Amino acid sequence: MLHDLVRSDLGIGLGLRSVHYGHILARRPEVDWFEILSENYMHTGGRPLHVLDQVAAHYPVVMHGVSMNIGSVDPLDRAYLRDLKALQQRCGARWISDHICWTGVQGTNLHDLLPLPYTKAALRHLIARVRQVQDLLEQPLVLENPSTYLEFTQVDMDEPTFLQELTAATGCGLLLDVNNVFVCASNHGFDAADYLRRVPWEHVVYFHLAGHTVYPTHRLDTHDQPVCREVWALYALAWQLSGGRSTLLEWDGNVPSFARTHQEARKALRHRARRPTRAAADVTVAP
Amino acid sequence: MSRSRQGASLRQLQQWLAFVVQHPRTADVAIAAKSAAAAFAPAEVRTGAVVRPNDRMSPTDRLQVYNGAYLARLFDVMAIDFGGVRELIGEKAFHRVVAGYVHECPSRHPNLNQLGQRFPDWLARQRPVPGGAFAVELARLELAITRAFDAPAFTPLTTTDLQTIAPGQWAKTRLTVNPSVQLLAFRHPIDAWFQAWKDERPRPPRRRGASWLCVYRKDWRVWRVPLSAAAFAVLAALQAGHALEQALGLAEGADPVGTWFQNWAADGLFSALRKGR
Repeated sequence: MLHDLVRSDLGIGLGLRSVHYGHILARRPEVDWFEILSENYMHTGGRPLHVLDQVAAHYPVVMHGVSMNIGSVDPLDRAYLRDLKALQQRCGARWISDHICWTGVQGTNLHDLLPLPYTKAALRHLIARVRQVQDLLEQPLVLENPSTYLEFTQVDMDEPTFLQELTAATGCGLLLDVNNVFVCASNHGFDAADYLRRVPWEHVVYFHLAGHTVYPTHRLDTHDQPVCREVWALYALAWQLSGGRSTLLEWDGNVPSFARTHQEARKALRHRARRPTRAAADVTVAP
Repeated sequence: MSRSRQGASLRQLQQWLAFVVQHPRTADVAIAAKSAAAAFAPAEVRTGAVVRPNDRMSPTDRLQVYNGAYLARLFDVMAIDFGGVRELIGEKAFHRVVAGYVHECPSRHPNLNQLGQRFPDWLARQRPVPGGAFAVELARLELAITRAFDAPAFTPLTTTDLQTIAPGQWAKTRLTVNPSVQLLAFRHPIDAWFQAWKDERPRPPRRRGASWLCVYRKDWRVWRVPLSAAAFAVLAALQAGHALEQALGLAEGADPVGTWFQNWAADGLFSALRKGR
């Protein structure tokens, strides 16, 4: 079943955002597919769900969440997972994705994608949880590499190895966020191109692209500006290494017009046709 | 020997990091706090035993990225949902209020949109209350708006549906008020202030004066309609499940009841009816 997801190139999609609802419903723009933020359509019976019904009737939809808390030591929230599955049934989402992270502990949700230590113990914990979720959802879960701003000192492996072990043990899919690879490479000082060469590509279902903010000390994954040159170069490399996957642009802050957002997403067509350059590896410099 | 040297469990690490991220001051203050220090000695945290430094950031700098982002993110959500309260009490006071609120009432829901559910009640318990009783009532109005927005879907009854009730059935008929309807009784003219703020007009004085309001959703938008005390009482009785006869007993004959029901039906306030016998 994961194979079907990996092979189903939906084209170039956009994150569905409320500021674009009016344009999308009125104009029905030619967009290959939309990704929804799952939680925006859960625990509500109002306009967002009404809009989603109409969008899902005309476009392929994918669900992307931020509150599965898959890496937490707290028990899995089964009510949340049931709601997630119900939403998928309602909108016909092709797959459900979330992040390799934890978002809270002791019942509290910090609403942040907090990093896991890449230890054998954390890996065992995550593998067991992914298997549980996949059993409950009755499908492969798709998990995204997060942007992180700290690294734990005591680790047993790096992130690509963690991804290899996780996917091999669970059969889960990966959402490879190219911007996150670049942000982490910059924040933690590793070679992003080398990272990409070690990704278990047979598990990668789709790509995320986004913009980020550069601070004097670090880069922050803000999704509030265009995709930078280095991320496009990495995308070209990722495209070549993967053989091509569904691609989605996220734009969450200072969201421009629908036309401008779509235009930015469609730049992917140009970049995927390019030969990867040295710029793809040139990301270990200070921000 | 500290736990960092022994190798902390994932549980210890997550509880420690959650504490540091949520701390209302800074990451550096947080790691020195008693409960954090019990997990990892502050000196060891500062020298990189738990979080690695890099050539630009110390371990506490890196922790501070998460600590700073936590409150900023929650503040943004509260500022959207309680923009009126923010305007009323001012930016600095609102920031202090939000920091206090999320510290005492952290989110326990997967949906960040639910963050403000306990805010009006929490605000009412503060001494002194920032912005006073007026701010508490304004917070109740703003929460009612988000609740109406997110209420479960429903199909409103039409005026024609109501016309199917035979004269002999009216007394015992029960009308179900649709789930988006929020009925609010205030001791101040809250809606007048709120509308002036929305219209960017000078706000009316915050004097006392009872007011009643119905907040509801129609055609996927949230609306507000002022009510008289009697109309509020009737609608509240219907919402509580009372039959029309009992509810109308609260009208005291003071208002044009027939017009109320025409308007309420036109606004889609009812979603089901059980005819009396």
